[in-house]
Amino acid sequence: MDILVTLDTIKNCSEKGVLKLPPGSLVTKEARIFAASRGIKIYVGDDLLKEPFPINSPPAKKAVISVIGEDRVGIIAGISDVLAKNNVNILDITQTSIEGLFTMIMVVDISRCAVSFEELKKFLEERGKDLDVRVDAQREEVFRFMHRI
Amino acid sequence: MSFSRDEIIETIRMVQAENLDIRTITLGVSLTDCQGESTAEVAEKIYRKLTRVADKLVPVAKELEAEFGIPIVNKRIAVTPIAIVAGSCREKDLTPIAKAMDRAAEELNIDFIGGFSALVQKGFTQGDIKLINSIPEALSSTERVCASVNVASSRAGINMDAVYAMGHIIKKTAELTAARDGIGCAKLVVFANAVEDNPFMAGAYHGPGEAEATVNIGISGPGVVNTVVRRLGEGADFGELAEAVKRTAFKITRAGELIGREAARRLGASFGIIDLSLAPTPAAGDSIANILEAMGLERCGAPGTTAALMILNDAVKKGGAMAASYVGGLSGAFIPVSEDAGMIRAAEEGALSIEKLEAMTSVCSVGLDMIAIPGDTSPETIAAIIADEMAIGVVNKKTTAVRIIPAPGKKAGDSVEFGGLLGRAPVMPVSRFDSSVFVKRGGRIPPPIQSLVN
Repeated sequence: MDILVTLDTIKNCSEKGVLKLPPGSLVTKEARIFAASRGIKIYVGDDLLKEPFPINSPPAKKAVISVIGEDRVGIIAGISDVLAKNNVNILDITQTSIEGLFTMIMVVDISRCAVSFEELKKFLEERGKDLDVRVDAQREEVFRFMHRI
Repeated sequence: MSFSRDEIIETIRMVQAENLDIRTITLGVSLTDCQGESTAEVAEKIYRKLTRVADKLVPVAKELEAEFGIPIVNKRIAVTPIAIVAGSCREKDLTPIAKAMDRAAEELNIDFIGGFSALVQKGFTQGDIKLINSIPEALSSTERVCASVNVASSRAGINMDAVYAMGHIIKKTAELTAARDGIGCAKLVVFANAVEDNPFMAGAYHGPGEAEATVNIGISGPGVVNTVVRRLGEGADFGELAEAVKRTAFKITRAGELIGREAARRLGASFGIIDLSLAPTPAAGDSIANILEAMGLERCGAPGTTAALMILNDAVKKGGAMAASYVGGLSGAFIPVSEDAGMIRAAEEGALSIEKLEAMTSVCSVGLDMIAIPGDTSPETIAAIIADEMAIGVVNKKTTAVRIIPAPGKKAGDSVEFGGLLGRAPVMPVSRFDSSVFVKRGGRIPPPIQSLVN
């Protein structure tokens, strides 16, 4: 019997859905997180192991979109149009235009986005090209990690 | 908004204007289950295991790059030292194993694969001898394989038989790759106190104490630190300077921490460590030398350079240690000459010598790195240079290394071009005085006493 069950034990087990281990098995936290991510429920004896509180917070619901370029009519309209078409809600928006250099930053909710994040990024970049501005979209965690302790 | 405009703009500027990136995601893979009786058998097992375990590495890295908007420059693999894996093979030549590693790396589309390695600080096993003898052939017949040999440690001392042998191995490797300025030597490191979880090449290997598969992250960002130091101006005192570097290092490291955790989760691997090293690239503005110059030195290598490097190295560690849950690897500023535009200029103008670089390595990681020397330098002189560098590491209980290229047919003042991340190296002069009697003594230099610390 395995006394210690690690991430690799779970990875290499062929069972799907439910993994039954003998009473007294020790399951590492890493193994539990991995099992949870694959939807595997682990029983030690008759007891169901609780899903661990994930080290990583659940996937982002928010993204930051930044637009930098020469000011002109229709930048916000153009970008918002892409977002609206893909069911992305704008939570916050700030923009300035100093000496013709336009910067806009949007925080958006991507939880109900109709397309994948990569596709959304591609649409935004394409629209940016039409408008002659540089558009970037990044998941919000980057800023949270870098600027908040 | 949960962040200020300035914070968001700062991050965007770091990426777009100051070369902030994740230098490497290195997946450590254990090959202890790939042993066998012949090199063909071991090679096949290694190829199959790597292509199975690491097949998602590059796609996951690309996903993360897109989602978080931070470039990931290199995707690499480190494996169990091949001397351990192949010790049971009956053949002497381990080149077929290196070729299998190279083939797997090419198929997985990764940049480098490290771990064609042996740990011989105290002595040689059969596997170690085979591996060391195979290095020149292995490195000249592969593109992506990196080799390393640990010849010294603070507890075992310095294996001078290995040091002398490496002098010859380096020469031979340079000769076999003479058509490309001895590029084989750019993929070969000699270590003291090598670490098991180093994500950086050419010295990465997956140590025996590591998990089955581990994600290790190397951060970057000399350009970001450089901008911060320059902006402080000449009036800032050293306390203010260190504080500014610390804050910046914190932010850079956090980006690495985020990507590392997420990469480990998506790859189904353990999250190993963040390596708090500032690694330069040949790109303009991404230079360690420029940071030291921004602190007030006319050129890197001028008197004061060692002190400046100490400040930088320490402040990066202090800021980074707070930002990461697990710190490891080499964790210190790198000073590879050919990979740093500022170092190249300093060497070409005569501001920076091998001797000054050696002094600098006593306060930072990792050692005499990517230095081209004249092609006619003797194996004995190369071994003596290695011995000096190992002594610094062994006494100071730190990792040091030598990655030196005796460029065939070149003399001091010439230049060699390796291309890509390996960059361009001015050939630096080496002392003309002879050390051969010293290095030929052989045996092992005893480890230093661990008390009486002055």
